Amino acid sequence: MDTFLMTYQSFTTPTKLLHKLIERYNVPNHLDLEEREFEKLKKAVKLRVCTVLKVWIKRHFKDFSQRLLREVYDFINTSLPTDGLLQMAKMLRAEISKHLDGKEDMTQVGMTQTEMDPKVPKNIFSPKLSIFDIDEEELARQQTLIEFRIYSKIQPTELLNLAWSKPHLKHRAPNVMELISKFNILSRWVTTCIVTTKKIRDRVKMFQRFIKLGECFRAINNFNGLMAILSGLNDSSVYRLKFTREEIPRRDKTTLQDLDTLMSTESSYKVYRETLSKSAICVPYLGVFLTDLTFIEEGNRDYLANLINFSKRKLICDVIFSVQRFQRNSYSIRPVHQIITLFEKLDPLSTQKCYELSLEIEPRGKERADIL
Amino acid sequence: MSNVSDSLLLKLIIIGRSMAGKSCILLRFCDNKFESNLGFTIGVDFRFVSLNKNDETIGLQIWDTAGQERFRTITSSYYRDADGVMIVYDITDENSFDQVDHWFDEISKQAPPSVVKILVGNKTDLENKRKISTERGLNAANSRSCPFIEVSAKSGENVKKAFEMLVDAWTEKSKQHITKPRKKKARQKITNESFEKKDKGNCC
Repeated sequence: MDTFLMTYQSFTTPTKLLHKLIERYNVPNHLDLEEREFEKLKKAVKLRVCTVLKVWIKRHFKDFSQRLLREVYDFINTSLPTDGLLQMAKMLRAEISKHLDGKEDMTQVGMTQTEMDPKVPKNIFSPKLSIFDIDEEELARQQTLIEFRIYSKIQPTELLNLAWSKPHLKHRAPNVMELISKFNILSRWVTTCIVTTKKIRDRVKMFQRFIKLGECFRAINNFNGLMAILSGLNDSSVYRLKFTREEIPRRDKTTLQDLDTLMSTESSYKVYRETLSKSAICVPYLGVFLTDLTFIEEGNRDYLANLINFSKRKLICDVIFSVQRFQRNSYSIRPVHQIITLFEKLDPLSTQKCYELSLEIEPRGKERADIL
Repeated sequence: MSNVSDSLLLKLIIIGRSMAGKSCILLRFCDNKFESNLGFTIGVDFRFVSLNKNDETIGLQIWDTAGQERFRTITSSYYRDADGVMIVYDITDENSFDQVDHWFDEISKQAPPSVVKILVGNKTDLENKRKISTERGLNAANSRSCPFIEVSAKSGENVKKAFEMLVDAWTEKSKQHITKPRKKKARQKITNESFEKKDKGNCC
């Protein structure tokens, strides 16, 4: 039932499902059963329908629009009392009002841990505060908080039917889209910072800061943030900066290599998958889930001989369960609004522009002595 | 499989706009019966395929990040050490064809110079919705001097051939350079043991 309620929207709508349930509730006497037998069957079916409805409301309350909720109320208030299911009606109404009061949203875990004091610089209240005044560790923590907030809001329906990759379904996956957008801004910002640093000595330092930031993301299991840093550093406009890379101290180079290996596409992210499976509180790299979903969606038919291919839904559900597994445990990080605002305001250059700048700072065919 | 220990392992990557059918091509190539196979699960190893060519077994390690097109992750690390790139567009989608130039640029910036390419137009099963003529595809490929083929991941038409052509192009190129010393590190040979390990996916 879990799998069904999680994925039914890939082939039908909540309204249709409710109508089908109500239809099922009104059992017809198809089988010409004796009166007594039929009564028994009818009662069992009705109870089962109510149970499904209850689980549906409990676990997927977001599926119910105002209008649909009114239909549910109608059903509860008219059909159930007629059949003497007063207790059940009461339970269902209680379940709904619980959600309407927003009590169910309070189930966040993780706040029990004591929050550490944030590491902030002395000029934290200064209007001139720059992102580079702040320790990488704290930067990583605050960005992680931003990303986790979005990640934890991702709904199962956003992950159905490859909604995020289809222009006409994009609106169905708002949180997935937002997380991707944050990812790309962070990644482009990393590239921008490197190529806009004119002197090679400063550029090497900048590079080292980002390796450190990546390391800090790794330390708190923010694989999404880590991947964004790596993709920024592996962008062609940074990757081609041969002299800059050569001057990075060996220790940092090794760290970067280790991080690259962790997030490598090799064997379908084997190393990363193993690391993730051992993590408790984390922000997973969403892309791997999206690739898995793509292969499941494209590799299996929706219908088999006119029947819904439920095995496919089961596979999709396994991925959604993995996404949800990491939504439950939230970080105990104290937000620092000044830093969060700095991240929200990042305004990196375009990939094209970055490449042009890259060619300016280390032109093709030049020797080390020619570089600033 | 007598020749396995001598066989080559090539790293191929597939790129193209989302919904161009990259994953379908790979799925089709890995297992012609994938659609009816209910037990199909995403295994870590399923992107290893072996191809028999003139009594020689060539291992193909295929990288595909379908589903991640909106992420800015197709970067140098992805192209590093690639032997071949398959650029896929959808013959019914003008936008996906427009991006072909962009992909060629990316490859020239990021992939090693020795890399071989093939341009693939997918979805020939949708002939009535075709927007990109075969000629346009061919011209685009010719101007970049790389092979071209149209396929249908849905029917399976030409899918295997596309991979074979890419491998042929690689063989051809490596022959030309045979007298020159290889710049790249010695190509990874597959031992019997590691081949079996990598081959346990349910695809071939």
